[in-house]
Amino acid sequence: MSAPAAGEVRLCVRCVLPSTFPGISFDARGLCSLCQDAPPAPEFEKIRGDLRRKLEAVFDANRGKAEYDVIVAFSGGKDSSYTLMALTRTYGLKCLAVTIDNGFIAEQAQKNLRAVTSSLGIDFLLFTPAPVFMHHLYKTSATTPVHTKAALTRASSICNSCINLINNHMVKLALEKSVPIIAGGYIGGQVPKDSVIMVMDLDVQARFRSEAIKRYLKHFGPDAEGYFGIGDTLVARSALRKINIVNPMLAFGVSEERIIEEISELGWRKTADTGSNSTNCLLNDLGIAVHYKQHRYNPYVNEIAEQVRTGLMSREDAIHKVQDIPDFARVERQARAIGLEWGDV
Amino acid sequence: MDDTIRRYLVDTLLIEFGDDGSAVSEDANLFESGLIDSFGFVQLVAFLEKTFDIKISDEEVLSDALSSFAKIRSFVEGKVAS
Repeated sequence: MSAPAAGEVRLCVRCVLPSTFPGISFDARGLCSLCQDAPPAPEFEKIRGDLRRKLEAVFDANRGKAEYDVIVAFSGGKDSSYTLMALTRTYGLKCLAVTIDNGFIAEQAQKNLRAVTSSLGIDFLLFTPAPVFMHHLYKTSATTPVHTKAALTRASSICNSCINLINNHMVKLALEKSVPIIAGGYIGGQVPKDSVIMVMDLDVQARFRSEAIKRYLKHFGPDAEGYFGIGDTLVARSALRKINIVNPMLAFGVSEERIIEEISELGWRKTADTGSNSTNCLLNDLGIAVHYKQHRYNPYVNEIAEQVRTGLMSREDAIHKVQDIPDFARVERQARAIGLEWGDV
Repeated sequence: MDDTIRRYLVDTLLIEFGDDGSAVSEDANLFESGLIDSFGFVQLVAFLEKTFDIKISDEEVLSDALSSFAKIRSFVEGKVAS
């Protein structure tokens, strides 16, 4: 399957967001509503410079306060590898790299996990949730409306479920170890624009978690409590009341080519079996195929459009990536692995 | 103000308000109905503070003041007037 040609679905003339993207409108020039409000690409470097200074202030205020300065949600993909490298080398933070093995980490990506953490000389934790739960989680996410419509503009339903499980695990670890900062490798479009630094108030978070848990228990069964819940005892026992959630890639502003060039020095190598939009997960293309079938736009388009808008990717490269929609033959093996029939989607 | 908040909830958080059964009423609790998640809430608070030049305290964030469209509108009106 390939995405509709540009003539069938209208694309923004600047950033490639399609007319099928929720909440979008176009002006007479063909600019989407997000680009109409956006400054020219060169101005983003000044914005990123301001964000870097704010990040540095957060790092300076929290360095040396606990066993680790920061927990990095480390997938082994290019962005979290770059994040880990920058936090360790550029900012001198003591990082704990934490990976959730979802059972679909590509073989090369598994080598990359070891190569990057070994080269940087940092501690590395690997957590493997029960495959039977993960398969159920993924299948249910592909066939049931679990997430908000806004969340689905940033990632597929399968990815959203995985990301939420990962985020929750990182918060639990931060509480256990009193680590004041959690870093993700998310780039523009994957998370809201204001999320380069977010201060998570544990009381506020508890409110959302309780609502989310109800949905997760309903959809994913009783084991969801262990993966998406945070026990009151853990919260009460922890010295932390707030956690700094940072997404430094939003402030770095580096192109995909430069990221790969820099992390190659750590022994990181590109995967050959994870599709156009992932450098670690074998399930990613299935998430894209399912999302496209249900919503008629590539779940990566928001992220890719933001890269174009901010001058980090060419429009031509973006169109190539956005229109690479896997057909069922390409994802059949992964679908079978989680017990998913294409007709159920 | 009403239109600005409504447009944000519709265009950015993709909430469909209306009178028919499948749409969301102005009094519906946006959290309990799963229409706003934690990311959405962070976005909403930042939008309200920036757009209406107001400061929303931790206590207000933890209260029910922002749980429905009707309450958000009333809350912002009160903040702007004070």
